[in-house]
Amino acid sequence: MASIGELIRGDWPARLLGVAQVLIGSVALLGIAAVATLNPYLLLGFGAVQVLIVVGVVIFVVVAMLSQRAMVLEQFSPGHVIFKEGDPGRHVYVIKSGTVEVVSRRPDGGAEVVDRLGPGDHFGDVALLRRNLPHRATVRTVTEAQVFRISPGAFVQLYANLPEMREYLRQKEEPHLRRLAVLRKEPTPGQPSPPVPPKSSPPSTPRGD
Amino acid sequence: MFLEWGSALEWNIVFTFVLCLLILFCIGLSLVLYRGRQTEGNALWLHLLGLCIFPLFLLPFGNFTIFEYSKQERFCASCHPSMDPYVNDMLAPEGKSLAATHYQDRFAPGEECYTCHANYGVHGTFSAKLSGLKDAWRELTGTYQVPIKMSQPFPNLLCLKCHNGARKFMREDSHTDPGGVVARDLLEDKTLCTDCHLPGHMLPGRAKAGVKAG
Repeated sequence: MASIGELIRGDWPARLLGVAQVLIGSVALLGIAAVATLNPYLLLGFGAVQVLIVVGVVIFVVVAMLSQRAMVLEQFSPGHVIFKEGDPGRHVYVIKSGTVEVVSRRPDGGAEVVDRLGPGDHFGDVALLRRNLPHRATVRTVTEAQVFRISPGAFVQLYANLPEMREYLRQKEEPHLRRLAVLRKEPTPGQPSPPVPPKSSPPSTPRGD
Repeated sequence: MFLEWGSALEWNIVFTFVLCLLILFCIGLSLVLYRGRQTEGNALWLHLLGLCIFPLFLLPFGNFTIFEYSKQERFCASCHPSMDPYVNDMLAPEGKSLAATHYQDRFAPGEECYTCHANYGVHGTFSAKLSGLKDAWRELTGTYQVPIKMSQPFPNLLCLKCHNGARKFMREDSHTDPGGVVARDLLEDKTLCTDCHLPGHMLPGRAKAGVKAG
């Protein structure tokens, strides 16, 4: 069982969902104790906290509706970490305004800014396309930034149906991946060793962000 | 044959238990299968069950269980120090109080306390539950004095909700006004039932003399 800290980790819809899980899970636990023992105080307590079920259901409905939205504009203050290295890929981001930096850990444990992205740039796509792949770098804002967060479903649909977009993403990723690989002293992506994927398949080499 | 199937309360206890287990199972499963991806497509289907459908079923089943179980005599009797004298009086096989005679007649098996002390209709149920909650709070915090007393005299309406119109009740002249209707004095509590009949409960040392009027 995950701790409460783990439950509420993640972006704010995931945190809200974690809150709903804690609320409804607590009521369910109390319910089991109440009906198993038929203790009057537990039963009364179970009755009193039923309102938490309503709160939890409302939170779930709000999160579910928001998660179904293809694109959400988010605003971040300077220094805000949008995602950390090692986090699972959840969304693709396109910068509307402001600057973000891509920070990667070096083998010696230090951190290095490997890229700076501005309006029109995107990040987070590769980790999302390769479901079990965590982000290979941290992305944080340098200035105040407005960023479109694209839902995974919408992005995958676009990716599958727009060959031009696939090609564009592949070209944008290569230099970035090369920088990350050099930093990590890994085989350079895009070199002859890894086979070039067919146009219709997702990129086989992970992009760091 | 129907007894083998159990009562509505028993079924609701089972349903409540199962629904709580299912909710916890769904939450646990989502944490295992979708850790870090809680807001994604398939995870949301699991959440739809665990955080929406099952909880929405739990609301009526859970509340029915609580409401029905709180009508039970064993629920009232669970407040031991304060309720014991009253419950013991009611359960006494040779008891003479109104509670004891009603209990012996098995007029509301298992729900004797609630049936006599709750008023008519939805309002009566609601006020009885509210009053029960206050009593439970006093019991929990120990802010009561033994023996406990009723906050107001037992109103005739609570007796009349069953006895009004009953043949045996209406045959008694003192219960009716000319025209064969229930006496206004009784309806307005000017004469209490317990003025003539034995008291509802006869506690040791507090027995009240009454006139048994059949």
